[in-house]
Amino acid sequence: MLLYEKFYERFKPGRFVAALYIAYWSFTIISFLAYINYTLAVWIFPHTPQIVTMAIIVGVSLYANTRRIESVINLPAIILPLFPIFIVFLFMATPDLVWTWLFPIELANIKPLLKGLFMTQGTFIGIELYLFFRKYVIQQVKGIPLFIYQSTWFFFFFTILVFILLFFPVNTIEFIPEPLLHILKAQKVTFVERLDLFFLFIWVIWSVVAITLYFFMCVQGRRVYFNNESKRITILSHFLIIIIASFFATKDRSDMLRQLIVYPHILFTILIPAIVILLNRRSKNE
Amino acid sequence: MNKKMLMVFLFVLFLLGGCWDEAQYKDITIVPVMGLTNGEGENEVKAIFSFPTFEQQTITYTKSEGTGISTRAAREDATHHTMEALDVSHLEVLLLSSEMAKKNLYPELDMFFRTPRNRITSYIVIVEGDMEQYFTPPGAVKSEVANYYPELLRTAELYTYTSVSTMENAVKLLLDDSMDLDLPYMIIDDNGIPTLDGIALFSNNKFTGQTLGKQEAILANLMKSKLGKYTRLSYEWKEKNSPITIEVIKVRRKLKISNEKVNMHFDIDISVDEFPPNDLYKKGTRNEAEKFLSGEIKKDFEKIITTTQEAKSDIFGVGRRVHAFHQDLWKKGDWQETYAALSIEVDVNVNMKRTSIFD
Repeated sequence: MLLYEKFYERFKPGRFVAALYIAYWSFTIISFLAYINYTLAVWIFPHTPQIVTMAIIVGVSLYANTRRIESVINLPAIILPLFPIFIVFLFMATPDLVWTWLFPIELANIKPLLKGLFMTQGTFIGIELYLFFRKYVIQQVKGIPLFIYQSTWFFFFFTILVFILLFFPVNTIEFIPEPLLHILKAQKVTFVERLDLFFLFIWVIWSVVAITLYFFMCVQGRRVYFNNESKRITILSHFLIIIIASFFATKDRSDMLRQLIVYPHILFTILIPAIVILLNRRSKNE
Repeated sequence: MNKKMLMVFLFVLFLLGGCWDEAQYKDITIVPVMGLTNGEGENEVKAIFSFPTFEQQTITYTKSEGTGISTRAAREDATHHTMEALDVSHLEVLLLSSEMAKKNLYPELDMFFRTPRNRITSYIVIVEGDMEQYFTPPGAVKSEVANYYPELLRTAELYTYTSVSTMENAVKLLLDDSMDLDLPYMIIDDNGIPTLDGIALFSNNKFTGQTLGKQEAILANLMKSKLGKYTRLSYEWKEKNSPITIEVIKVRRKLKISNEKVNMHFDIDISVDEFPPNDLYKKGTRNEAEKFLSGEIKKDFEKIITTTQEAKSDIFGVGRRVHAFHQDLWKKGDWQETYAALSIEVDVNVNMKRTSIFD
């Protein structure tokens, strides 16, 4: 992110790169939608047809993306109050944490470390949007405020990771696909029977916002780079995505997409931005 | 018009969500207490359910049972002769027969964890003898079993008779190689009343058949630093010809592990709840009391360690520290065998912090 901040002004993609990004964002939407719907089917709605839950999620995006731009840009604000509540619920698990599960730290074998480092990049899917949006944010926000902002996100993800590692014995993590939901499900509170559902709803809202933003990027990508503002294409693309994502909303297929997406993610967050920035620098120097 | 249609469409979609997954109370029977034991056939599970029924505006508790090749199959079997489907999403207590617990427990519990609606914070207890008796006790229990067991276990947890014994905690320990499980142990007493009689010791996921008694169970929880809201211990102080009852305020445990030797040091802060001679206002008596209690508790701790080593049951989590920081010792082989052979020393230091409102 620090590198993004330094070079974002030089990131000026052409039509070809923009088309690639639109394809990547569409793939990300399909992957997200498939996994969200699989998770919803397993945790809350086992009997509800997946096309219905999918249509509800995509419907929000369709509505937001056929309105004014502000509708989409302001949408993430609705999830901000939910973060502190989620963190409070997460900290209720503190008495159940076992600090010795962090050890022994195996540093001798570098191969699993590198593999872990590679796979955890998936946490930062969407970070490339920084390159596209940064220029619209107040330019004076630099230095310490920006560092605090970035550190907040780091500590948020890091806290979640530490809680998961300290809550479960290491050998159980491989068969618990959604450890956070399990941590919350294991909390006994008087005001609600299933705390996990609370997090699931936060997560769904969070995902709806993410999907809406990705659709927004596709729509804006078409508008800015291809001068195409057709609402018909926007509506059709939403329906098309529902149909494709429905096909992938099973255990095997959604897992396959989740494992695959790290590769294009690396390509679109590191390699392509680096190439575009370098090429722009060269042409500027010439 | 199109915008309005879109809004109506989205609104209707929101209304649809959940229609397919609603579960109405009229279609299900909430089961607060469930028992699992071995069936008559090989690998057969027998499940017994206690649940409320509403007749003529009064609540009466009835039971139903079923058998099958698994917990879920036994539940389905019981549902076939119960008016409504048996629902364990609000289960409060799961009773497990000691015979069933002598094999790996996890397969019988998998159902509770795989289905998201099921509650995993229910209490879990090992019961001795015929499971049927725990649903229709021979003695005069003052409440329905469906109310009696949850309250009994809540009190046990509050008074440190047992540590938190939820299904979720139990399964985490079943899957943890470096610490063994202990669960509340229940018997039918001489009056025919189901009574907590200490804790059942597990080794490598299986009940060893060995248990710790009531006072030992409190001490074992003290050794784990897992205190309930109240932790009281009574000793006969023969030199003073008087009983002394203490309440533990705080316990700090320090583990020192060197190769095959473990030192457990405990600093225990106490308050005195009962001491009829009433001379604790003297500094000398307080020092004597601290020394006496340190010695007595140390003796009890050593006895408990011997029992757990005989049972090859590391309920204190020594293995967690060994696994984290002493890999040479950890890799010697099966941890339970290693634990049983360890030389474990205990030091106890009792600090009298309060004498209550007397002395």
